[in-house]
Amino acid sequence: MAVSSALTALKVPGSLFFDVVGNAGPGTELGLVRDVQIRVAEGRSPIPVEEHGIELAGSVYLGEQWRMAFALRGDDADAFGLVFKNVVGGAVQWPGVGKVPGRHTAQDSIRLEFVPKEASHRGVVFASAIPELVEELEVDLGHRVEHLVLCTFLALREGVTPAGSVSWGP
Amino acid sequence: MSLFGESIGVYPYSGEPDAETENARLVTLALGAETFLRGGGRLSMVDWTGLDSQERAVFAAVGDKLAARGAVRLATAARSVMGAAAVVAVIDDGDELVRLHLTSLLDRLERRGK
Repeated sequence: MAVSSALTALKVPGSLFFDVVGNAGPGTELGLVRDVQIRVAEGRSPIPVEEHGIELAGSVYLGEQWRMAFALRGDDADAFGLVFKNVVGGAVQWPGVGKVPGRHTAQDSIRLEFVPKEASHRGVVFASAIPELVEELEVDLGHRVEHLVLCTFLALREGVTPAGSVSWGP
Repeated sequence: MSLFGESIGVYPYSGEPDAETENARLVTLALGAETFLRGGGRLSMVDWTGLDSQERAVFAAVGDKLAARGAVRLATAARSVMGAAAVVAVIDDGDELVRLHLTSLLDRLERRGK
């Protein structure tokens, strides 16, 4: 089934998995995707014109970044502990040195894969995604309480190699 | 024995009740009254005259509790968009509340300049 965008592909029922960058995946499941939002940001480097002070002659297009926010349920707390480590200098070596959520850099990136429940739907692979923030949310539904984990990732739309890109669809 | 008491299985005392039995009876009466009122039930004057003094007190207390709960929900919804979404979560299964939290998370990251 052809999909016009990754956001369309992400809107079907499915789960989020993570693995080490470069692995074939899908890896370890983080949880079932309840909702998702994507914000696209263009990276541009300005070209200043020195003889005119702060005027800009143009800009260089650096690529597109996707900042994604997922609401997951049925989450695996241990899996989140591996991705969003908040222990500095811990004994766990993978996927990198422990850092406080929100302070991760490119060297902490992981391979993120959205696997839909239906085989006919296309998955989405974020070959190199940097984990950012994670927090919990309790939703009171009256007869029960739903526990969700909200997490954000930063992914490059296109990388130097196809292995570093976001891919989806046929 | 009132119709209400009979419907929830609370019967008049036989002998001298102990504290534990009395507490259990009050809890059962309160739960029954709350279920009745939350389900949309209303007491008529005929119903009221058929209740004993303890059952009337329970209905009055539960009625106050439900009214207070409704006032808190109204205040919460009026305070902010997030508050309104939290109140509406009972109807929309929390969709709007989750959407607002995801948006808030992304806004926070953008303000950080990351």
